[in-house]
Formats: sequence, C-alpha cells, structure tokens
Amino acid sequence: MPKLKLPSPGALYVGIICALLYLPIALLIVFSFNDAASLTFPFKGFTLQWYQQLGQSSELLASLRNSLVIAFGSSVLATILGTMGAIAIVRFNLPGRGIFLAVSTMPLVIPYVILGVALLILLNQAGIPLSAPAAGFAHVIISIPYAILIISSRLVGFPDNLEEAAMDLGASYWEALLKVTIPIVSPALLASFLLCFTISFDEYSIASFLVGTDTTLPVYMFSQLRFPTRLPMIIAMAAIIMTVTMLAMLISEWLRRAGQHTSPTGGGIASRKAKA
Amino acid sequence: MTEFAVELRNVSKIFSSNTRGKVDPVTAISGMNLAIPTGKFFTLLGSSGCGKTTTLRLIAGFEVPSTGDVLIQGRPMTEIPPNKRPVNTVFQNYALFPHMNVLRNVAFGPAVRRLPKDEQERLARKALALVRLSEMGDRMPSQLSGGQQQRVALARALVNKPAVLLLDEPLGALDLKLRKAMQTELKHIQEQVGITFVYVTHDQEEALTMSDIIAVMDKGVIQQVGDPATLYKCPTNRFVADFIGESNFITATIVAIQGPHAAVSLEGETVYVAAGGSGRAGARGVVVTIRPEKVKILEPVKAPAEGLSAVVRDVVFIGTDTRYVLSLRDGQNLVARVPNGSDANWREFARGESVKVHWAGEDARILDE
Amino acid sequence: MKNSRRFLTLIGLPSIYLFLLFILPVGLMVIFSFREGTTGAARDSFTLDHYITFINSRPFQRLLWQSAGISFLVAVIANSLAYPLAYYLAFQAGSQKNTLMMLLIIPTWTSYLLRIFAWKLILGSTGLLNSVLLLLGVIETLSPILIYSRAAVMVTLIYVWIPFAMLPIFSSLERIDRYLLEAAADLGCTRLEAFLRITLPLSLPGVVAGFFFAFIPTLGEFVTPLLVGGAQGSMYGNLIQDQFMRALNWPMGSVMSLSMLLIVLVFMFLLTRLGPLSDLLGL
Repeated sequence: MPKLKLPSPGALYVGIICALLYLPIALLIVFSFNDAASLTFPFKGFTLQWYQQLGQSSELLASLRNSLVIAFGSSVLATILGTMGAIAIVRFNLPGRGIFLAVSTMPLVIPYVILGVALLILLNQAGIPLSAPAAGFAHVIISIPYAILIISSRLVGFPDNLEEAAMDLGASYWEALLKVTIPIVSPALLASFLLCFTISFDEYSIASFLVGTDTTLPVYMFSQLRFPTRLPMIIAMAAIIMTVTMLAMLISEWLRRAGQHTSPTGGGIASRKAKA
Repeated sequence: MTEFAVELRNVSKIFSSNTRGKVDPVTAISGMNLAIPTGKFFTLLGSSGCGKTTTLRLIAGFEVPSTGDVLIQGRPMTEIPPNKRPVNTVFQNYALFPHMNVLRNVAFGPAVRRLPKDEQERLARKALALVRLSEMGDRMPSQLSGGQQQRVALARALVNKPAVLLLDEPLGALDLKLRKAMQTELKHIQEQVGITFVYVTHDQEEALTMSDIIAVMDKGVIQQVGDPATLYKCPTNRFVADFIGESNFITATIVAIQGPHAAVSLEGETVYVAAGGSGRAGARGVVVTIRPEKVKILEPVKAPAEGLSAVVRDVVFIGTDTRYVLSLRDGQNLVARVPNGSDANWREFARGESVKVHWAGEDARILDE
Repeated sequence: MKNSRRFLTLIGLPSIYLFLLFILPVGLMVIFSFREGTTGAARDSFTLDHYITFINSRPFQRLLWQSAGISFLVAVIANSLAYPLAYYLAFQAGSQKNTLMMLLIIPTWTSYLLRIFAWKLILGSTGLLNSVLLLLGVIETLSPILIYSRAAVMVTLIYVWIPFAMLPIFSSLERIDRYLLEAAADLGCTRLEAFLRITLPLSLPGVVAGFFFAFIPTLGEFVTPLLVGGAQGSMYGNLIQDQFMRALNWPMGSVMSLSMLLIVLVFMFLLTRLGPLSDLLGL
C-alpha cells in the first residue's frame, strides 16, 4: 500500500487559496453551458445555445472588434514610447531623468476613476467627441509604466557599452540602438506588448468615461450585466476569451523559457502582470 | 578542553540533484575521517567542487551527513541544528544583513541570545575593535569596501566566542594586495583569540601562509594532512605534489632500494632519489617528483657521473630566477628554476644546448600510487 | 553635448505624450474645480464654492474616509493572505515554483468585470453560498443576507487583489540572499527568529508595493460596489462617477477627485519614506 503523504501546512494553504481563486471562474464556465437563462441554482442541463448565439449578436461583435483594435494600437504605442523611455532612464543619468521617471510611473498610483474623469474633461474642452479610440489613447498612459518596467529590467542586465562597441565599429548612435539594443530587448518588447494588450483589452473604468456609444467589450459587457437574459451569452464570450488568453500566455511563457538561456533577467510575463 | 575541536567520523554526503525528473546522486564527500586539533588554524585546501565547502557546511550544520558523525568538542552534532552549535561562520559573500548597520550586524548574535542591551553593545564594540573598525559602527554594509565588509563578517562571527570559527574562502573577493594584508591579519587574530579556525580555500599560497595544519582535498576525499612544510617537502601522491607548488613528474625504473634511498634509471642513466613508501627494486613506470628549484643544470663536462642528459628547449627570464624547460632523452619534459648568479659555477644556458641535470637525492621522491 | 541631445530625443516623445494625456488633463481638472456652475463648460469665472460645499458636506467627507478605511482594510487583508502564498512559492515550492505561479496568475486573465460578477453568483440570494447553506439547513429561506453590503464589496476585492499583492512580495522574497538566513541560523536564530529579524524586514518593500497594488484601485473603485455592493456598499468612487455621468456637476466631481488624489499622495508619502517608489517597483 502506498503511504498517504499529508501535505505541509504551506501546500495546504496554497491549495485552499487556489481553489478559492478558481471557484468563481469555474462557476462562470459551468453557467455558460447551463440550459437556463437565469444564473441560479440548481443547474438545469447542458446546452451550447449560448455559444451559438454569440455569432448573431452584432453589438457584441462590434465591441469585441473595437477592443481588439484599441488594445493592439495602445499596446504598440505604449511599447514604443516605453522603449524610448526605458533606454533613456537606464543608459543616461542626466538632469530630467528623475522627473521623467516619476511622471511616467505616476499613472500606476492614480486611481483609474480620476484618470478617466480628467481625460473626459480634456476631451470636452478640446471639443473631441467620445469614442473607442479615445479610450485606446488613454490606455497608453496606464500601460507606459509597465512597458518601462519590463523593458528597463531587461536592459539593465546587459552591459551599457554595447552601443559604444557598435559605434566603435562604425554605426551611428541611432543605428546602434536599432541594430544592437532593440534586438537585445526584443523578448521584453514582446512581453510588454502582451501585457499592455491585456491591460487595455480588460480595462473598464477609464473606458466607461470615454467611449460614449462606441463601446468596447468590457463596457458592452457591463451594460449587459443588468439584463439577466443576456448574461449566459456574455459568460460564453468570456469563457472563449479566457481560453484564448490562457493559450496565448502559455505559449509566450513557453517561448520565454525556450529563449531564457540568452536572457540574463528572468522576469517573465506572469510575474510582471499587475493592475493598479 | 577536548583534544579535537572537530571530528568527522566516516562522513559521507550524497546530494541528489533532480534535473527534469531524473534523480542523479552526486557524491560530494565519501568516507571522510578528520580530526581538527583545538586551537589550531586548520585549512581545507582543494580546487572548486572538491567537497571542501560541503565539509564546512556539514560542520556548521547547514547540511546533514548522509552517513557518519560530526562531533564538535567531542559531542555528536547530528541532531543539533545550526543555531544550537558552538560554531560560527564567515561566509564567502560575507552575508551581512543589509538592513542593519555595522554595529547591529556585529551585535546580532548577542541580541539573539537576549543579552542585556548594554552588554550587546559592549561585546560588539570589542569585536569591532579587534578587527580595527571601531569608527564604522554607524555605517551600513553597502557603504563599506570589500575589505571592511570582510572584517565586519569576521567580527560578527567572533563576537559569540565560538568553539570553532568556520571561514569559507573569506578573502576570495578581495584584490591581491588586500588579500595578502588580510592573510597576516587573520593569522594574527587567530593567535590572539585562540579559537580553532577551519579555513576553506583553493589558494595554495594562502593555505601555506596561514595554516598550522592543511588537509588537501580532491574529489570528496582527503589526500594528505600535514603542516605546510611537510606537505611541500614530502607530498605522498601526485595530486598533492601537483596542487601545492610546482612539481616535475618523471616516469622511471627503480634500479635499487636501500633503506630510504633509491636509484632509478632512465634510458640507461641513473639518478638517486628518496624511496618513499611502496617502491621495490625492478619496478617499472614509477613516478618520481622533483621541485623545479631543486633541479641543477650543469655543462656535461663538469657533471658528476650520475645525472640525466637533456637538451634546453626554452629559456624564460623571470627576475630573480631563470626558468628552463628541458627535454630528457626519452622525450619527457623537466622544468628547472635556477636563481640568477647563484654560485661561482653559474652560467646561462642557451636554447638547444646539451646539458646534464641532477639533484640531491633527498629532494626527489618516488610517489606512492 | 551629444549625450544630452540623445537623451532629450529619447524622452521627448514619451514626455510630450505624458504631458498631453496625463499632466494636462489633471491640470484641467484642477482648473475645473474652481469653475462656477455645474457643467463647468465655457465659464470663465472662478470660485471657491465647490471647495466650500465639499468642506461643509459631512456625508461627502464621511464617505471619503470610509472608502479610505475600507481600502486600507482590503489592502491589509489581501496582503496578509498573499504573504504566506509568496513565502511558500519563494522558499518551499522548489521545482514547482513556476507551475504554482502560473496557476495563481491564470485567474487574473479572466475578465475583471466577470470575476467580480461571479461573486454575485456566489453571494447572491439564489447564489452558491445561500444554496449550500439552505441545503445544510443553516438557513431556512433564501434571502440576500450576504450580497449588497460593504462586506460583499470587501470580500470580492480581497479576492481580486490577492494575486496582485502576491507578486511584489514574491519578488522581494526571491531577492533575499539565502546565505543571510544561514548566517542568521549560524548566529543562533531559530527559524521564527530568522523570519522576524531578517526575512520580514527585507521583504517590506514588496509588502509596501503589494499594499499599493490593492489600496489605490480599491479607493478608486466604482464597479464592484455597483455589482455586488448595492446602495449600502456604495463608495467614494461611485460619488465621483455620479457627479460626472449623472449629476453632471463636473466642478464638484473635480473637487472630489482631487480630494481622493490627496489621500493617495499622503499615503504614498508616508509609505515611500521606506524607500523611493522606483526602488519599490524594482526599477
């Protein structure tokens, strides 16, 4: 007979927390297959009808498309700006570095509701109509701190005379950045892009002030949470998105580990994702 | 007081390294017996991976032996955790607590033992004075130089008056000049406090400079234990002869053995050597070791009858000495180191010149293999 | 100077972006807080009325302090629950560390809104908890005893923040040199003493960062109260959102936003006395 090994108190604790973290998600997934419009116990039966209905909801698809577009755009922009900022603060120690570092990481510590209403005032004063792209530009602000964080922590792992070496070999400074520095930090660029994408794709608070009627997926979902009959479909959508995200993250984590022998810094996407 | 501060009885340590599900047992130490006399400066000498640090960690209690017993002051330590052992460690990277200033680092041991506050401080200041850092109590570790950090680590370990102080390559991170100065200082401090030091290093010169007794380790086994002079003059095996100082190894045939003396021959020429332990007349392929500075080079005409013919292959001037690489008749190489202008017969030899080499019989030894 | 030209070129674009979409809007909000009237638009006369109203309004201030208190409590509890997780992962999980880390992070990839909404399915009157309690005979009828309260908001937010609080604590624990713990044992510490004297103090930067990861978004929360808090669970963030989206009193909303910002900055100031923010974030 194999001996029954009791888990250590620590392992038991991790197990309990894990179970608690997954319980709400498991509930959602179960309800997405439940053959009843109302999300109440007990379960009625298995159905795929909510998944089938997804394709027929044009509003949902429009908001999904909006979210994908602004998530893509804002994460590309945040990664570009973050790369410039990261190189500047890691490679130079000149006047202005401190204030730039302070201002660019500040959005991390300001409640989103404040950023949302401040940007609402800006749009209003500038006479710019509310729209999904407006939310996308706002998402760049909250993504920049993460982009800088990820890229600079990769950058500090490499000696700072690599650019000098390239210039010694005849490259101009900007060529050196493009041909040496950028390739070196490319895993961090990918990580930054993915993280910024998920931040924007899931962001509700700021978007709710800025999108107007041009809804993003979270804003659309929130509006539907008030109509119980629409809920199962929303949940089915979320289950699909979660599966896709999980696969994407697992693949990127796998890529990161595969390329790890070339990287002096661990980091990783998982350990960087955090919300402020 | 017990005769031995530390004893290891038949100690083995096997690590199981788990890589991707495969368990590979790695033997770090096998069947080690060692007795470290009280009050001595004892050094474990060996290259990296030889098991010297593991030995130290077994004494400190950070590792538990797979077999055998560790005794400190005659008491078995197997069941005793590190915090209850009468030993303290100076770590290789110093392991100073970064959130405490120097004084609080040094006072850490007394604080953990819950001595009264003023007693803690008195002991810490005394220990800091011993390592000549009295002025530095308020600094943070990050504000100190490498040498100063090293001395804080020493003070922090000494303040508890351990029965044994363990030092794991404490000078490894220092530059050469500072390392030399600290070697003298460490030895001086050891004599002053009279605590048994167990010192781990890969630097043979450091070991020879400071130690009362050295144990040379290789592949988890102790090769030879002895005082520095004995190890240098009478290495019992090739590893020790090679590891401590520079040595020549010549393969030859024993012609005759008489008491401690032996004659060996090489391509028909005969030289005298010390017999060592296990040789017998007629044995072929025995290894004779001779230090380069004991090899004498003569012009063939001035040479005595015994000696080996050789050709000079390379000449390198290195200040006080000249280093010759010589090729013997059967092609074996021999290195000689001759002080420049040593005596009346001294002259320089040129590359390609035919010479005769010889040595005093007691300077060369047949190795036990 | 070549160097300073390169530096300015690099930070130029991000700086302009941050100025236009971050500094400028916050600055506008400050100006708005002094504007007369309600919508604030196109009025050029300035007044302190909104500040006076705010200072005289006990309900506003009470809600602000209550929200700060709730945020503080949520952050403290989420960190206390996250610390043992981070500790287990950093010191005891061994080869399973990465797998466990992934396992704990994966739930955060689900829609934030729906994770909060899921708690309605647990705490609601016909939810999982009530149904189980009914089944066990602890309660006799289904009633909304758990949902629509401050407690429901807190439970939900603690759940949301645990993984985010865990990350910085974990990375600060990972950075601790293992030899320091051996040194502590060597100098006579038991495991508990070594934890209290070495591990805990050295992991404080991570705890501070973890605290902020929970405290700041909780203070600004208005979604969770809307979903699981009901009228009882309303927070200061809801008040701000109302001023902008329903009451359309933007100057008043600006005053409220600035008062919330002030609280955040005061907390930041107090806690970053332990070290600069960029250090806490590992920059």
